[in-house]
Amino acid sequence: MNGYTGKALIIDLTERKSEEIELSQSMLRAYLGGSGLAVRLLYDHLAPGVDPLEPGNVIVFACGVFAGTIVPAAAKHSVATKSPLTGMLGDAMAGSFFSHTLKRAGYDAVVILGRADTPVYVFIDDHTVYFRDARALWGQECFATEEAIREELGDEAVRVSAIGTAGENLVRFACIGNDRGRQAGRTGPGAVMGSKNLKAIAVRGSGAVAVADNDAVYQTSCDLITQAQGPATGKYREPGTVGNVLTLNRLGVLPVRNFQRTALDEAEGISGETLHRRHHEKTVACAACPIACEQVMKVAEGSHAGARVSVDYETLFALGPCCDVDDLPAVIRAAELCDTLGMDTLSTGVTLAWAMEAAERGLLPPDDGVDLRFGNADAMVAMILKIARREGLGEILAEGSRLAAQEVGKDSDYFAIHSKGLELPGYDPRGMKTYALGLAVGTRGGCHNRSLAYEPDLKGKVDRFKAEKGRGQIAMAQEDVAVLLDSLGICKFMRGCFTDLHEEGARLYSQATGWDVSAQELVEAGERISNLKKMFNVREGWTRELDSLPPRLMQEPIPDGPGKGVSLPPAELELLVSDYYEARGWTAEGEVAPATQDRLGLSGQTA
Amino acid sequence: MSPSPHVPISPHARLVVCDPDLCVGCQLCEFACASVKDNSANILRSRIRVMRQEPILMISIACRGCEDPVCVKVCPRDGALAVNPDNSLIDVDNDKCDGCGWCIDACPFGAIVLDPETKRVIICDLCAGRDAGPACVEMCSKDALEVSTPAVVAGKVSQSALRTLMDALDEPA
Ligand code: SF4
Repeated sequence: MNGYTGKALIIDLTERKSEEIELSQSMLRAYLGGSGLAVRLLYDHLAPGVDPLEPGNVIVFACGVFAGTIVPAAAKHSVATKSPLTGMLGDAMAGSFFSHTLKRAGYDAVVILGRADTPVYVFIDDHTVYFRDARALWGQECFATEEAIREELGDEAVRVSAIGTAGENLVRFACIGNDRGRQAGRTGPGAVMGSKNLKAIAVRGSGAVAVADNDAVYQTSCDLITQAQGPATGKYREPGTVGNVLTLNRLGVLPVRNFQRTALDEAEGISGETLHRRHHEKTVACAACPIACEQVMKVAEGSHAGARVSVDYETLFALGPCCDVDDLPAVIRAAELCDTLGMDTLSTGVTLAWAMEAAERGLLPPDDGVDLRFGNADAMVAMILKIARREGLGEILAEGSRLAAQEVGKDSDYFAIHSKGLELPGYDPRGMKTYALGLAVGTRGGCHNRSLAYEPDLKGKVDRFKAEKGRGQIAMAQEDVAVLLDSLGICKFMRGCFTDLHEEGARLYSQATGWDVSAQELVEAGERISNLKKMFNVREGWTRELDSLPPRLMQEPIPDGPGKGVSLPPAELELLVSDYYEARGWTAEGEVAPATQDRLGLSGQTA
Repeated sequence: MSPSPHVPISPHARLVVCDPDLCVGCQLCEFACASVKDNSANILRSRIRVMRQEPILMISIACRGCEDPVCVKVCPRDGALAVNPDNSLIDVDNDKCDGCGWCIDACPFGAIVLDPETKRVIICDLCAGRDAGPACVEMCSKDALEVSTPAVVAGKVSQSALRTLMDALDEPA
């Protein structure tokens, strides 16, 4: 097979054995790879209704068709599991050499079942699988684990996906780190690995990924690489996504103090530009990526001297403005702790912001020595460690904002800023109505990256303050583009380098695979995969009330800034959501209608 | 494609050098090498290798064009490796090389590779005969790679030492 390896590895941790299965051409063509393939395999291997942290849960790693080839910025791997944070589809992605290597070892995907009785790591050495003792690694941080495994195996070329302390301690938003600095970040897949006693997956791949037409793939890739030095990716290269702070502040959609405000009076000090000027140390790229958006920041002096980590916008937002912290060195330290301990920076920051507000309102029990309140950077840093270790208040916060608010009660869920349990990213949905819809209906919970629905709002293609019919169609199209990119493994930052993603994507896909695939087929694949994700959630007990947003955002109008007075009352969101269901061809209740299932080749697949 | 303007290559060019500050570790140079030299997507066939010591150290390394190369000296197959008198690059005689890898061990830079398909060693030849020069240099969109000579490298190192000195003098005591 070209492009694909045509094989997946099924690893049973309970039995400590593995087997290879064939992936058919028709299945690969229908689900493409990456996110589509991961969700398909998860759907097929997971029994509905299991507790996400029980051995019955399944975790799937899947590569894109282009991983292991020169196609630029197209090596994201997808991790799918039942999320311990949302109870619905857990769906994370990471940029990676890991997927290049997994493909070269001979696999498009790895499906992990069961639970090991003692800590292990799995070493996939081309076609041989070893279950190795990880007791000595238990307790180590993500980066240190990667290094220790490379050392133990004696090969620099080994690539590792590993969890840190947070995953081991089942922090519900624990991530999986790979390639020292990339993360499969959201929805808590690290906790699922922890629950399986699986410290890491290490891969050595010595084969090659064949493509059908090497000359054509090379030429197309060179064109894309040239494009990627142009204006379409300018802001990702310098200063990186952190430039959003000033942009969003200007538009009045930068969430501040746990979404109580939407703009900072003084944003310059916490801006990406300032961060870059004071702390930028090195620009780094993912595998075969000509953009290189990863900006490694370093603190040179002061109490956080030595802290070093790459910082993107969502991290800066969550640990900065959302907690009302304006101390950049502390943000860098906090982000570094999240990465090394293995927790999602976004969920960590937004959960901490909830805790700061709850503490200020006197709703939280005091925690020894940590005085949680907005702006207290030291408390933020200290509490991150406690969350990873589940100590003191960290025990409650490790559950994420939804469960923490349930536990604390006293109406603290009013200001728990999540959708389906996933903490919201750094845009205020009240001032971005298409985006608000995208967040509410997202299958992995409130996520900008899966919905891409912020784009029409920010680009001024629609009136961002207005909720109206027609947005359902727009949100659906955006979401299907996102899922297509996620399934091809192509980084979203590349999307501006295509004039017509479907046409050019189909050409590139055909050049790599040797199959004659049309643009229309890719459009349908995107739609099919979005629908399968929804069917997964329905099978896990999804109900319509879950397609919603936090009470604060639906009850309070924007208090200040350029969007002052704009609100998002429940009836408005309701209108948008219904419009979206209709656009999707779903029932009024939001389930995938049988006719839609038939059309997309998904029928007969609900349990 | 030519992301960077085409600069004529000096006849004294001896090696591809990489500026580790500019290199982002993407490995596209490896893909360029394997694709252009062997029409292959297999980067194990690349003559240039990116080393990453994350999070911030990264550099790609190809043959350094040593004056008195140890690889040639250690090769037990008489004449499988030889210094080309015209350009000082290493010629590999595929009929003589048996892929034992002794030279790989000996090269202090790890710049020699065993081609997994031909089972012969491969060494950067600066894409001899290719009009646009080395494919890796052409590919690198971060301008980290350059075809150079030891004299040019020395000049650059001196320049940067001078800048460091100036910065130090500028700093208030
Ligand atoms: S292409 Fe350039 S930036 Fe990328 S790894 Fe090679 S030398 Fe470094």
